[in-house]
Amino acid sequence: MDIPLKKLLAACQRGDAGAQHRLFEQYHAGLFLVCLRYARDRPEAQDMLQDTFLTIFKDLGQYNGSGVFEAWLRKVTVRTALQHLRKNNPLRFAEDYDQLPPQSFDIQPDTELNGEAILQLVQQLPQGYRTVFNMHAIETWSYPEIAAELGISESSVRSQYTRACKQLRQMVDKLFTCQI
Amino acid sequence: MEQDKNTQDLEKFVRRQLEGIEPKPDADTWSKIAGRQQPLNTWLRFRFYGVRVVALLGTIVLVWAIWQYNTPETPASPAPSDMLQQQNVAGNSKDSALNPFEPEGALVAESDATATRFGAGQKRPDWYRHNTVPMQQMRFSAEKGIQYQSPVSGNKVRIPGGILVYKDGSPVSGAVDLMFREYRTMADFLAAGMPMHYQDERGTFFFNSGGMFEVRVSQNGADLFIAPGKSYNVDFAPTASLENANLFFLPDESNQWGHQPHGQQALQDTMGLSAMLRPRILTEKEVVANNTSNTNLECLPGIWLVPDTADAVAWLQEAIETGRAFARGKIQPPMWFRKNPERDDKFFMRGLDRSEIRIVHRHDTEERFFPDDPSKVFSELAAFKECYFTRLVDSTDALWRPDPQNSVDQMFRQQRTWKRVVVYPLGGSKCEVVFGDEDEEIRVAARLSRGSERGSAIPFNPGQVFAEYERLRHARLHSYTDAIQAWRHFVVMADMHQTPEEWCFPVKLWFDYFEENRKTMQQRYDSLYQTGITTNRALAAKAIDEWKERIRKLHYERIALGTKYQDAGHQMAMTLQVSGFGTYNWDQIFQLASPLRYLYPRYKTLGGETIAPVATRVIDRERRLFFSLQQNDNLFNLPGRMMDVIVTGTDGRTYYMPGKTYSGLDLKNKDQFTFVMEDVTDKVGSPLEWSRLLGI
Repeated sequence: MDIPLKKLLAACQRGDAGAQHRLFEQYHAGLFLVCLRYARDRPEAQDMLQDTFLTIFKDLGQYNGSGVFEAWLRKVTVRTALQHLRKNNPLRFAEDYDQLPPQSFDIQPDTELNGEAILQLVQQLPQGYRTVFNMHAIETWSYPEIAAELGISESSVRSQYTRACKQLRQMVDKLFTCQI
Repeated sequence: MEQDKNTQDLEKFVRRQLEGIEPKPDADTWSKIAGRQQPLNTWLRFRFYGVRVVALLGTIVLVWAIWQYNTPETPASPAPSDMLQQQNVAGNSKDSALNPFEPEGALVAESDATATRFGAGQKRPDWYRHNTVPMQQMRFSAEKGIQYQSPVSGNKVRIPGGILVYKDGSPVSGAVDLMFREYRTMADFLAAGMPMHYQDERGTFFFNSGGMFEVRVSQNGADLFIAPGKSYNVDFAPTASLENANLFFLPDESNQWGHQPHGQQALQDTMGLSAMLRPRILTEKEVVANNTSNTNLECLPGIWLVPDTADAVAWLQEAIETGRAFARGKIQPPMWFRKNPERDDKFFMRGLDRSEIRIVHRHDTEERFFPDDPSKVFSELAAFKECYFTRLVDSTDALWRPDPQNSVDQMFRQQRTWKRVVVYPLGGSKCEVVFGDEDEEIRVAARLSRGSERGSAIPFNPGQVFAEYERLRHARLHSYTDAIQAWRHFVVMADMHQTPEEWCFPVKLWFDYFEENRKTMQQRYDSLYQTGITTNRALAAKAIDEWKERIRKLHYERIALGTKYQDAGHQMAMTLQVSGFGTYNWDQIFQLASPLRYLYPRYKTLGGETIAPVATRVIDRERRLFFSLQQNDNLFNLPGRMMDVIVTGTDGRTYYMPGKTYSGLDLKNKDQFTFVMEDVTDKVGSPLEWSRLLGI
């Protein structure tokens, strides 16, 4: 029988390892997808997921129960992913915003156009583009919100997003062409 | 428009595609998270339960406090001034197993403790009327006796049943009232107002008190007495470990302290034992040494900070030189050190390597530049005098740029200031010049050239220039670290020459204090310098060894003292057998250093009215002395000594002159002097107020 969310969260806050495991089981798939989108590859996403759950257990008290719990979890995940990116590669994270799109990308001609392939394409975006694209297109954060979170100007966010879309479109088009 | 639509389509497309997948993390992900989370769960449990436990305890304490406050069957809660007393309490025994009299069930307490009610109508000295030290009162059965323990100090009064008599000698029965009052701090002594000097056939001496207590028993307001040949006990922990201290008793009738040889029957000294066991007269030096060695354990200097090597001698010599120069106003500790004396070198270096640097471009070509530092913090740039750097095209690289709109090229050319500059030679004339501040940094690959080749016969040697740059930079950084070290050594070694009170100063406060007392410090460091210690290594080494030994001894003494008091549950510091009710004093008696000069004082108020003194008391804070003068028509003539003077007038009012004022008076060769005193009567209604006024 499912334990009511409120009780589960309270038990997690008390440091109950069993409850924490249940919370992990319940939500890890969705959060891992978020991590995969922000990460360069699967191992990095694994690390992000670990950090995310540690943050969730630590900060559970900040969830006041007023909003949707999943939305709060996603927000924590995105923030943890951004922190992870900043911590592990601070210079590249900043530089990427000004990088020109790479001229080539790695895609196999026989790749099927499905979710897995799209995820792979997103992961191949330069880190800065990928971050802004994820935040705006998937998480639906507004430009000012993204600018505030990343500490860059709003116009910068716009330009990064436009370039990200352009590059992603090129990659999708190429994939279509391959399939044809 | 079409582009927006395309973008929206792409967003939708990507979202839809991604929604369809359910990636699984590695199977061991949870075990990794659980492993990292395990120690954090301990903290979570502590945080979760700890808050609740604290809240519960807080509630219990609050309820208990309210109950205590509102319940008349318990002794009155200690007044705020009792908290002041508590600081000096060494032991606080809760043990009641010692009571041989078992007055269980016989206690009826009072809450309306007032000084006037107890013993009202009885003959008391004048000062007694103005005594504002709070008292503790209990009611008990005269037949059963009482064991009362002070919640303030842990001291105990143990009065056996059946030993109380009326004035006519007949035995007392029924309920009687015990009054117990403790005087444990200088503020208590001041608030009590009792005399603090002693006189016997050898002369008049001053008291140096280790604590006093007052015990009285009454019935219906009338004083009761102890039956002849009987006695009661007081388990008493002195406030300080005083050598050659004795017990003294102050009879109400004579208002003159009398010696009570320890263990003898008070007021029953028919055999003249008191004369045979007269208290030893100590010198001022002995008393002061005793007082100043009784500072708190936590204020003891950290001798472990001083190395056991020859370095210690260098430290001491450097510290004395630094202190002397500081006292004479020749040098000042840098503000960055004063503010952060406990920070490490790295912290200071980060803060110090900072200026306002501009990239100055030459007119002929923008690729030629020179880092200009007008405030010359980066003084090593002087090595590049007459030289310039030529930027190698497309070499500029950003190390960290939060604003991607600002291209590295723009950053190189724009008119802005940087906080720091470092040049890294790369061989030959090539180098890398790095400009940076808190947020950004650019790296410019460049070539070093001479400003002008005209008229120069010596070939340009960039290697030599870079070497000079490195040398200057190294020297500059070392001068910073040397400065830090010098002040650090000054702080650590200053303990050797400080008074025990000064040991308690935090470093920041010590600097302030040093500046405020520059004259004293100058005398202190001059006299140290004159011993030759700054040049004589053997002398310095000996001084360090002696000082370390002194601190070690103090450390163990205080631990022993603390242990003794903490062990009070089994045995108090001493058990005094006394046979009279009144005020007792555990004291040393001493003489002030001779030759002692006096003058005839006249006291006036700020308004010019004459004060007729009935009691004169003085405080020497530096030496921790407080005592009263036997005669009111004389006062010490000790120019420059910080001596607070307190005078009680015939009008019952209290007048005060701070030690700072006294020390600044021109008393030299004066036989009489008029002192202007402030009426502080309304400011000193309790020991706490006294301590506030005096800052003690």
